[in-house]
Amino acid sequence: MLPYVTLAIAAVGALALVALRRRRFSELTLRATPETSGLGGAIAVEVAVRARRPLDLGEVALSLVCEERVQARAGAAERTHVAFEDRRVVRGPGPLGPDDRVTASESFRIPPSAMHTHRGGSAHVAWRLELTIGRTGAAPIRQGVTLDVLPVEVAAA
Amino acid sequence: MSAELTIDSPDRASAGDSVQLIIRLRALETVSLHRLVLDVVWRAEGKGLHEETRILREVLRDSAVTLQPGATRTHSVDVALPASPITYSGTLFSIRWCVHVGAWLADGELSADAFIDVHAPRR
Repeated sequence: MLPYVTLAIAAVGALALVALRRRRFSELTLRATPETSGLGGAIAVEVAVRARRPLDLGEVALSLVCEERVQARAGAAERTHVAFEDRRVVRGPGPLGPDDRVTASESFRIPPSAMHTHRGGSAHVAWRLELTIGRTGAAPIRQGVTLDVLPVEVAAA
Repeated sequence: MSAELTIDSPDRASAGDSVQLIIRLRALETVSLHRLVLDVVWRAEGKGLHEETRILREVLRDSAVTLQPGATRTHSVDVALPASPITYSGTLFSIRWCVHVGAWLADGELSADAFIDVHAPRR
């Protein structure tokens, strides 16, 4: 019974977060192309943010992140470690009016010597692109796209 | 020790490639070999973590044979490596590819390990 209650609470929480974002932002887009690539591959990223009402924003940043995750045994806490991060600030802190639209295009490159996406029994390597919108006096808003990095080395475009 | 067990394997290979392994058992004195088994595995290892995934087990010999001093039994095995994972040395865990051979003799067991650095192929 408890797992269902936990799942229900998590689902309601996620929906509430989405609703909150929709109330604040009329547009919140993060697009990564391609979402599947090889080691050394380039990922083009586009972001667009528009507020519904005036907001006092912190930094708006895009990050390419590779994270290790290990759960050594069932029931143990999952340990995580950021193995790689390429963070770019695409807009400095400042007010964002309802007519303002933040747009940015960035190109990231997966390091050729990095680890591919790995889903083992207890050990994982995960790649994602993350948009972080800082807010004055509040937790930042994060939106991510999961990337599938294949175990092949591709020539940089 | 009554025999010597060795593995010839490439130090480095591409994921998805086929590699040739040569296993040699050389008798140093008269020995009776009962069983010879080859395992190819990858291991995820870290603090509190030891996970082994076997991709191949090949029983090279499963009946008794007597080897005179100096006699050598050689087995050649071609192994197709899977497309993933590649060898990885991370902070929380690492992934290593290992060739393990076990020999069961009348007077005890012998084993040998060889490690292959499996890297991503170029496309």
